[in-house]
Amino acid sequence: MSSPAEPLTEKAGNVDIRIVDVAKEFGDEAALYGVSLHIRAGELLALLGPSGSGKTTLLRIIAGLEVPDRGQVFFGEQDATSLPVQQRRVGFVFQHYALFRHLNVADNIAYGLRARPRGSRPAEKDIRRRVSDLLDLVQLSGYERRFPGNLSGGQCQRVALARALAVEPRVLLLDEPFGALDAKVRKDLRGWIRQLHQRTGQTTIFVTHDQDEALELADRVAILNDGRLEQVGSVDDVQDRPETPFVMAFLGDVSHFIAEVVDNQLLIQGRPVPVDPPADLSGKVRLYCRPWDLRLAPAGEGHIAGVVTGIRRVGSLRRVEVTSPADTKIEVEVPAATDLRIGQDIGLEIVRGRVTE
Amino acid sequence: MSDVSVSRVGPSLRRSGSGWRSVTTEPRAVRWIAIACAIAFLAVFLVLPLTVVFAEAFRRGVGAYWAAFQEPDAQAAIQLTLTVAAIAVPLNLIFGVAAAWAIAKFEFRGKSLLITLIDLPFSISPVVSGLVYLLLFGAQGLWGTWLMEHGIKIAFALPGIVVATIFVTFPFVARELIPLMQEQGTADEEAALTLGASGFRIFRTVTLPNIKWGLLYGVLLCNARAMGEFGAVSVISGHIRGLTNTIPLHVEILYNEYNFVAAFAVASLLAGLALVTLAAKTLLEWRYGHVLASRTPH
Amino acid sequence: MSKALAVKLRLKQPSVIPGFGLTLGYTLTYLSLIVLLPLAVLLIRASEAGLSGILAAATEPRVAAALWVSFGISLLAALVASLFGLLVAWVLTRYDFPGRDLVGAMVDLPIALPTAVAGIALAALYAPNGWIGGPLERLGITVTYTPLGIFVALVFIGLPFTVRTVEPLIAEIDRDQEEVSATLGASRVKTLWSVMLPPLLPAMLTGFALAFARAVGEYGSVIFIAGNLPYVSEIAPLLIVIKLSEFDYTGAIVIATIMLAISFLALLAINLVQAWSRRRFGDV
Repeated sequence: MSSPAEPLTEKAGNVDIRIVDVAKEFGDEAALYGVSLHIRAGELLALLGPSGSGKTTLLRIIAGLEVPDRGQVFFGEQDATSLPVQQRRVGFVFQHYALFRHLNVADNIAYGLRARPRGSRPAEKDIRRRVSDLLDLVQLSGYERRFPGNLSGGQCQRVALARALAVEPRVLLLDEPFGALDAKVRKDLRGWIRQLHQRTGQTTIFVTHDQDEALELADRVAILNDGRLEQVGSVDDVQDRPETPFVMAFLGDVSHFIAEVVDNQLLIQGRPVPVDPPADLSGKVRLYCRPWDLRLAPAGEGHIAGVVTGIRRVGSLRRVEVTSPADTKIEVEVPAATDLRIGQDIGLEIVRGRVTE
Repeated sequence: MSDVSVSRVGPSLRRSGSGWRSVTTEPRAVRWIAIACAIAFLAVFLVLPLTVVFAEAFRRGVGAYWAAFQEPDAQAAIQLTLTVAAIAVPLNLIFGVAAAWAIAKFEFRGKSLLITLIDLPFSISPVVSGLVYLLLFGAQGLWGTWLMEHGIKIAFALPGIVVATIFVTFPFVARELIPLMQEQGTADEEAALTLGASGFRIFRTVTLPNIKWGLLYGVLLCNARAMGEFGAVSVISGHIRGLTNTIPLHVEILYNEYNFVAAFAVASLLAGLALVTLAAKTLLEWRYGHVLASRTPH
Repeated sequence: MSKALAVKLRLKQPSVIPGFGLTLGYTLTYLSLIVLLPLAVLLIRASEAGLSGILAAATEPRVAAALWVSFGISLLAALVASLFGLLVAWVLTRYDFPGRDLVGAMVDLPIALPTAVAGIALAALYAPNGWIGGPLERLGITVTYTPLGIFVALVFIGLPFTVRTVEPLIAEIDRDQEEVSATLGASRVKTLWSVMLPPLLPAMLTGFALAFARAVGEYGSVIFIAGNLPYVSEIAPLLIVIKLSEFDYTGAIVIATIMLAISFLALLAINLVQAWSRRRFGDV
């Protein structure tokens, strides 16, 4: 397991990548408005966002497949902004793999090596050895002569990965790497990519719209919305300390309430809430709560009154939907053993939450 | 009417053991009448004309058939047609690939206008196509006097026939490649770019293998039309026997001289070419259906 | 604001794929030399004749008759080709029968078969002693050397266009819609007429226009069967050839210009129909 991977652990080519104030406008597609981002050498970073947020555009700008309208891209100390894609030495894995259908697996992987100018092209013997090393790495030994048309989606994905790694890229870029795969394969491949990253230490950036995927796989997550960077941080950062309402809402179910700050104390309907508001806020504010930030209380107690309008089982817990008199729906997570019925009057107590303007 | 046929279908299908008719098709009787009508129509309009070519060609036997090709004029016509196609087809092939690359791989303004202009020769009468070149190169044409003074012959000579043929076969390769390459998108080329390949290498090792069957089909169509073009060549060639007569023009002359067997014999050559083209098309579609883009005919 | 404008004014979206300048430059040069320049010369020569000259030449009785024959019969032939085209396309896509692939391949024959070959074949077939002409003659119907002969040739020429334009649409018909229609209690005839036919209509119109445009300009397959009697069965393209052989360049240019104008109108109609159906039915 370790010997074939040996020549691939070289980290010399790994660089950090700095994106400085990059902007790109299209006619009507996903645009970017002044995004700056630093990707550390050797890290696994997720670009997370809904469709149309500009995450794929950013990935393609890093690769050199799109030219930004303004801003710069640095690979280490080198300004790569106007460096042609052929000379950037990036490994790009396309969403639908873009394997060359007329070439077999081995020739696909060798493509980048054979495309090198005669002077720097490895000998055919070395190309073949490298191909077989890479096939070992992606666990597809023996598939050399197969054609992409005869491979499953997960196998295609791994060939595409091997092809991208063959050129010893300075950074590996993956566009929605699991988008086209079914649930089971997706889960396997996730763990496998994590493992591969640990072994090769390759700087890797991947684009995804799936928050679970980003949180499970990445060291750090950059969240994009509408062409702007909302937050960059570790998985814990973005989950526990979301900086914007968008991040809060995008990373899971969230309910929000209108609250009031009086004398640095947060109040809902006159009752104090055990959440410290930021010092610079006063007057009407918004309070965001996740389903586990709330607790059920007997009718007439708690901060908010409501009626139970839905109950469903989620794993070992129960999700309860409570409808307030103002007709907003609030999700609350409670132990499965809680005794509830639809139509029951109930109170809600806020335990935790995040306050914004 | 539908009620009648539906009620009649029950028993007839029970006989066939199914007992149930899908709602997405017509009653069996209606289906067979429609099939019979379509086949009868196609037989009268397509199969019989094709058959009659070969029947007339061999009416006086194989000897008479062969004799038609022994004539020096016939051989000159065949040679001229091959020469014209050998020049016109490669030129339109290069144009078709270049146009399809520009149109399918890039977004730019005026693209749909460009596509319309490329299609233009399809909607122009072959006779008019011949005429416009006569207006350029003919004795009364724009450059006629100048050409005459310098002793260059274009109209009523090989170059005129070649340009007229290029004109009428102009869109074939491009028409075939544009939708195909648009369908394939640019991901493969981008993948090759990230792997460090140069533009020409990408075309040769990635794009060309993806489009080769569509390209082959476009070239076949272009060639069939180039060898068979009649109206445009008829106007520009001047009908000089043994010199500027292509195969179709030679067929016309023989026919007008009531030399029917020879006319149909020579025509059978072109009919055979048409059949080969159709067979190749069917084979390509059947074998590589996914690599030929869906398209409207020319 | 100015930025958005700049994006709109950009002639080409930037792309990393190489070869745009080379291929587009070559395309435009070749297109201009082969197609645009000669057509421009034709139009300039026509404008030299002036509007009165064009009108005078177009209303010359023999020219008017030829244009009438060409356009009238082309319209009829395109109409018949459209109807049979729909039938053939329907049978080929919806029904399974032995030899279907062979029949499907035959549909393109009029495109692949050189027009002169088709011309003499049709002439021989419909001659009074021919395979079809003989029996028809006994019924008192003469095809060769009459407008009917032109009609037959033009239906032959138009058929592939009308079949191939509706074929992909019939193949794409959503079976769900038929089934929904049936579950809502519609008879099969009602379903065909009110659910399945309307989406095919734009394609049929396109096929009709293509067949018409091709028929108007057709020369080789018509002249052998038509007999070419002035005022009766003489088509406009043939008259161009006759004018040229008489060195009446102006007459030839005028007829050619009128035919060009009609072809452009047909092309425009096709584009409008397609734009309309895209708006109405989404991408076709």
